[in-house]
Amino acid sequence: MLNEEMQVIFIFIERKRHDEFFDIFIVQGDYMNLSAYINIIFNGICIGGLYGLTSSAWSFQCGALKFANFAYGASLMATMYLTYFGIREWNIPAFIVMPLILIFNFGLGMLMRKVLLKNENRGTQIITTMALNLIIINLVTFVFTGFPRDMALLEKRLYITETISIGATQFTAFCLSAVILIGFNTFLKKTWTGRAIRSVVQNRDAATLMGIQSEKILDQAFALSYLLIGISGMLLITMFQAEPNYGNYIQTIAFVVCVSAGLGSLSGAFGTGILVGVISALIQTLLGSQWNDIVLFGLFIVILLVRPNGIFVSKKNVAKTF
Amino acid sequence: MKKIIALTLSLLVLIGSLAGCGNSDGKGTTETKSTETTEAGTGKEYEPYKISMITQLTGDNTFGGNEYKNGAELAIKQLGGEINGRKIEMVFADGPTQEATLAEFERLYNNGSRAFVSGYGCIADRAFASMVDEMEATYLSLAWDADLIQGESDYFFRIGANVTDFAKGAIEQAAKIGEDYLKIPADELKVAFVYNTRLAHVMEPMKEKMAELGIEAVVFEGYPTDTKDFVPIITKMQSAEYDIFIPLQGVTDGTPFQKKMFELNYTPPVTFGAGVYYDTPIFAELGDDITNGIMTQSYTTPYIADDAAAGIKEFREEYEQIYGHAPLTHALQAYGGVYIYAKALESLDPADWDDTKKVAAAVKALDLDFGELPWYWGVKFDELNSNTRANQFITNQWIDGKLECVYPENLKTRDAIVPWK
Amino acid sequence: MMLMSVENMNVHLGGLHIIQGVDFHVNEGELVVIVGANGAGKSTTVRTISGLNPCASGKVMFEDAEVTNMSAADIAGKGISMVPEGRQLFPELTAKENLLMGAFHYRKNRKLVQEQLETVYNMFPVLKKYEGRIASTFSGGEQQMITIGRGLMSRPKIMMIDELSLGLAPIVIESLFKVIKELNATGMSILLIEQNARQALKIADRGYVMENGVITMEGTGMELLNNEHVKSAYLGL
Repeated sequence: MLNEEMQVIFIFIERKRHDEFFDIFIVQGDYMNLSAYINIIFNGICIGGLYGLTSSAWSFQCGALKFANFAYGASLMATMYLTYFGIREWNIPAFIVMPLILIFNFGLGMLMRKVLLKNENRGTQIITTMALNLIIINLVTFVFTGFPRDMALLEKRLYITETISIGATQFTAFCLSAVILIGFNTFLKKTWTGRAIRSVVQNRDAATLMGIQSEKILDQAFALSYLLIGISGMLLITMFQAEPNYGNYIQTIAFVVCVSAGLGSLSGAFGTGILVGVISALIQTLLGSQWNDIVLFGLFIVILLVRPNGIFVSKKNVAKTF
Repeated sequence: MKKIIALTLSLLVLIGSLAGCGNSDGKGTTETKSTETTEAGTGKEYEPYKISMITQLTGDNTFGGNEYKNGAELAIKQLGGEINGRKIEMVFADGPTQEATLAEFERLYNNGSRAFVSGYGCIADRAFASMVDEMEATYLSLAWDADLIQGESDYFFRIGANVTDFAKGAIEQAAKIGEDYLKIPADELKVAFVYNTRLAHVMEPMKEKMAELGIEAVVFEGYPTDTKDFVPIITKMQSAEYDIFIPLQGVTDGTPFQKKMFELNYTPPVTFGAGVYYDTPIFAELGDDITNGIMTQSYTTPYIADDAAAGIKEFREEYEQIYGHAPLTHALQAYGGVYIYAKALESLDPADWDDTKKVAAAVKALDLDFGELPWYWGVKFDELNSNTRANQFITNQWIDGKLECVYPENLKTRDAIVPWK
Repeated sequence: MMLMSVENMNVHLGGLHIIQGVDFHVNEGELVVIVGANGAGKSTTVRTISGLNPCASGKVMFEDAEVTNMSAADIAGKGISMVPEGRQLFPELTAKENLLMGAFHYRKNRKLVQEQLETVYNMFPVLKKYEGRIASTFSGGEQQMITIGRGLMSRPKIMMIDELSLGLAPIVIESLFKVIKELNATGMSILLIEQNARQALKIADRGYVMENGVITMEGTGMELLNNEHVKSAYLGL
């Protein structure tokens, strides 16, 4: 990541030097018509929705359960690799691989919670999960090599009009993300277990007094959020290549999305994910791909300054978790 | 309990990072032969002469790395494993990163290696250029940029092509295609130029050349190497009017890019790839629907006309027979590097081979014409040890799953089909 | 009939011997009060009974069975309900959800939950009116109602109420104490922990005085109210 930033800055300086900055600027986007922009925006929305689902798992863990999980990206990446290898290399049928992946993720979440995250000190959690992140990345590189893995699924386009289309896989992923998030939210609001989770998060001692096994509930909640990671991973590998550092990329996006949305807000994460997807698409179109990271993170800083608690969190709802 | 967990974790982290950071701890060394030889008739016994190569056997570029290894091995084999009665052999080491490459170099040097040839990507060659004169080890570098010239040297040789010349040559060739086949003069030619910012150093000379020839880049897009989503760029290409699409991409981003174009039902009018990704079998795997018609600029490749270079046919056929797939430029490059050593060693008495100074001098004195070596390029070094006869580039076109050479005249196997029907 | 008794309880907290051999009991239907100054150890005692703190030695008996050092969840299931000090709501849940959480240990029985909810609403009609509001937006007195209601929701046999009056206006305190008295009148056994000795002893059947981790006095409500030491130390007379 750092290397790329150096490249971009280098190119930026080069352009200024050659005084072609404004030439390039004018040429971009000059010839694009409306349907081209619509296509790009739809694409951004679909990808953004998936980012939203992915980020919401982290938002839940970090904001709601108050676990700082920096092995999140690597867990996602490992899921993608296992899905790829299960289906493509080991030739296990997809309908067996999928539940296996979910079980794996649930187990991984449980294990992490019981071993690494028992210590409530936030600083310790950050360090231990970061270490785990490195371990997973190195393990994956060692076993699977660093070569990017692609499911090689060619996506059909769904044509809305002659010139406007949406990717079938992307659209499905978007709808699935929405459904899953709504489902998860409903689970949290309407079921007894969901309420128990929220109670434990908000006041652990009081929850224990009610007869709730607080530690067990937190274990289950964390493992449950890992299911979200599993689903996200499986959706992502259908659209993108898996490579060892993909997790870091996703972690950064999740961080940006979650903090902008307000840590813990699930619907906010989804909405902000879409926003990030659309903004990213527009930046790439209007300014050029290499500006994507700079502008996005620049905006992120601005948002943090203006709305430190998140875009979707009004002042009176600060500390609101769901 | 907590302390035990913390300790175990720290150990795991240590092990984990060691496993990933470098596979250089003696993991990747292989040797092809290891027997003593006897000088016929003189009763003397010589150790086999070692030519060493540190290449990416593991890591991100195992494909290219192994192509280099295969090419070098095949060269030894086709040379009969010996020259002037003394055995020669390859020593390989794994260098997936720059750090690993440098570490392996030290290790091999301490074990007596004094003749080196670049591995895939030539990733540490800049470092070696400044080291080998002091260490008195001969180094043949296969691909280089203009800034790799470190001044006069007795031991460092640039035997392959200059990346800057290659880049400019690609643009010149694209302009030629435009003129010859599309009947559009260079200063009216419009191109879409898309590149991976990791290859910015190749892009720069191309941009200069385009400006020089008056070629207009209607679309000029650079993207970071970890870009996943190419819809914005492709949509821009769809909306723009241009004649030739010039991509400069690596393997990891080229594939998703091509796939996305295919999914969007978009084929550029003419594609002229500036090497790298567009030569590889990985690209071929995308299938004829995507690859057909795409042209690529290469260094010399194995697919030139059979009579153009001595032994090129044998190289191709035996490579495919042994390694199961058609060889690429990379294998031929490594093959060529070993052959240069062979020619230099041939000119010396085997007794002198262990005197690095003499070997280096023999390399410097080489004068081989185009076509004498299987890789077509000749060998003649200027005063800065740059090979002046490695400047001929090849244009290929994918036709029905095969890479055919379509330029230059004396090397082509057929004419190009532009635009693709 | 003795419902709950504590015998020779010793509790260590933070390296200090906080509770040093404490004995008291609550009979069925009684309203028992423990008064004492801030830091006397009153809250620690009930927290230990509920299972939030470990009990180093001594016994807690409930309905003739020992419940010492059982897990908090199990103790709640036995019928011992605690309304903690400082309200301890679930701040971002609605009032209704807060109440519902009290019914967690019998949540499968929907009808029962609904019935109990109605009972609580009858006692605190304002909660029914604003059942959908987020708990943290209620006033201090209303929040106390929520916690008492939540405690009631668990269908306890005994309610332990810790520092009911902290931070509340006198008029609110008075109405709350009235509610407690009414609750006791329905047969609910209550253990009330209070700094506000006067109000508490006025409604108490029996009471204890706790000072520095030991019980120093015992008697009926009236007896303690008229006691000279109590009067000077806790009633400001």
